[in-house]
Amino acid sequence: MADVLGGFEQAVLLAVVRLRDDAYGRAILKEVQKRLDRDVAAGAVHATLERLERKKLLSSRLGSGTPIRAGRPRRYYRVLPAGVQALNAARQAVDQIWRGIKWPLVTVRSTV
Amino acid sequence: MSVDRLNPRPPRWAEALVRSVIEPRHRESLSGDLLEEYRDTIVPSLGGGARRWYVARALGFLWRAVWPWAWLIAAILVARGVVDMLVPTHYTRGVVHPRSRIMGEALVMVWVSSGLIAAWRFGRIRSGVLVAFSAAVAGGAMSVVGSLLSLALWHDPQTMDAIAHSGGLDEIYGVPLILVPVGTWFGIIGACAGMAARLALRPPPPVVRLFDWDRAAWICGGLLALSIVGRDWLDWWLSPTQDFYARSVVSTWIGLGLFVAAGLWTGFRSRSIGRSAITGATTGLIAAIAIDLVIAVTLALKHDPHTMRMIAASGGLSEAFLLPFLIAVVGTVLAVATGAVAVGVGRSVDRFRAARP
Repeated sequence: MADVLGGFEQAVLLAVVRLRDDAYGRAILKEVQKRLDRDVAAGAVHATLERLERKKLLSSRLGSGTPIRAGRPRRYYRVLPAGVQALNAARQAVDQIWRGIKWPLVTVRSTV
Repeated sequence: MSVDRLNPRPPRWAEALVRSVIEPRHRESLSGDLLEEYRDTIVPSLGGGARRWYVARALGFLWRAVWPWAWLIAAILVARGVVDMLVPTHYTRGVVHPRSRIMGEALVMVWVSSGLIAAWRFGRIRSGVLVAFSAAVAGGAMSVVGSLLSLALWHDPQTMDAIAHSGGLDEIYGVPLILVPVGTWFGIIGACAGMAARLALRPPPPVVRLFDWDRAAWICGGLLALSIVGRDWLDWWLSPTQDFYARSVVSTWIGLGLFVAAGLWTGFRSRSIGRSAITGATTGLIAAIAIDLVIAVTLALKHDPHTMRMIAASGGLSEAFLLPFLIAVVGTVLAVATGAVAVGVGRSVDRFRAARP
């Protein structure tokens, strides 16, 4: 299951988990940018949300429009049980890989 | 005025551009997100520069839709130039060289595909045209840069001579520009095909609702129109005959059978004679309108004396245009009668099911 999710997909899914009922496109984008600490293209987040929805890890619904959006609705996302499973599996895989290694790693000077 | 200050608008063309390259399902929400960001964060922080920010985002959206096609166009143009430089050949004026043909066909494929896929994906013909045009412009510009780079690598006298023999530097830099209108034209063809395919395979919700409202009428009416138009075409062009009796018997039975089917179908499903009457009338009207339209178009295209003689021999134009409406009236009565039978059968089935332990 862990290989189903890429790093960016995990960031987007976790943003949806964190935002709960307020997980819509712009808020997710800001959350991902904050967590990854870099500028992320809105198109990239949108494409990932679309992909995760196709994989049945997320579902979405349209909310109501607001004047600041010229009445255009927000699309709210929600993590599905399969999405939670995929996140757990991804986390487990990372823990497994790091088990027994002291973190942070110290640079070892090569003697070769 | 105060509303404008509170809710400043980004450039209209940029908004239209963004909305052209977003899938219909996300068009409102995604363009709304961008507008919210613009009004909520960017205008307060950037002021006059906010419009530039929006234009940059709009171009970013366009680039996401265009870049694979632009790269393909640039690759084809640069590859052709490099092959001409490295493996010179003799071009004869007025004769299409195999290299030119291969390049031309590859470009046409890319232009048509870019329009087709964009129109399919974004659900608008204009999106297909926009993507094809932008791909032609961006691909052409990238090919010029590619050609400049390849010239920087290979510019020995022999190579320059080969370039001169294959049209010269003017052609390397001029052809991509000339190809923009050609590419856009092929993009329009692709966009129309993509939109037609989308409408056929993913009909818009109003069409689906109309179809769902009375499937029996659409299916039976469509089949009835096909059978009557087919019969007319047989009589007039495909296989003219002087003896129309056998054909009339067959087409009459097909028509009656379709009205019977429509009445039975709706009567059994709805358990309502009134619904059967509506389905019968709709079946007849759909067929009559479709038949008259097809006949009008075919007559506009083909009206030579022989055809007009055959039409006159098989009942004339008045029969061709009016008979379908007469059939609709008779068919409605038949649909009501068979609908009543189906309602009776359906209610018996209901009673039988209800009585079952």
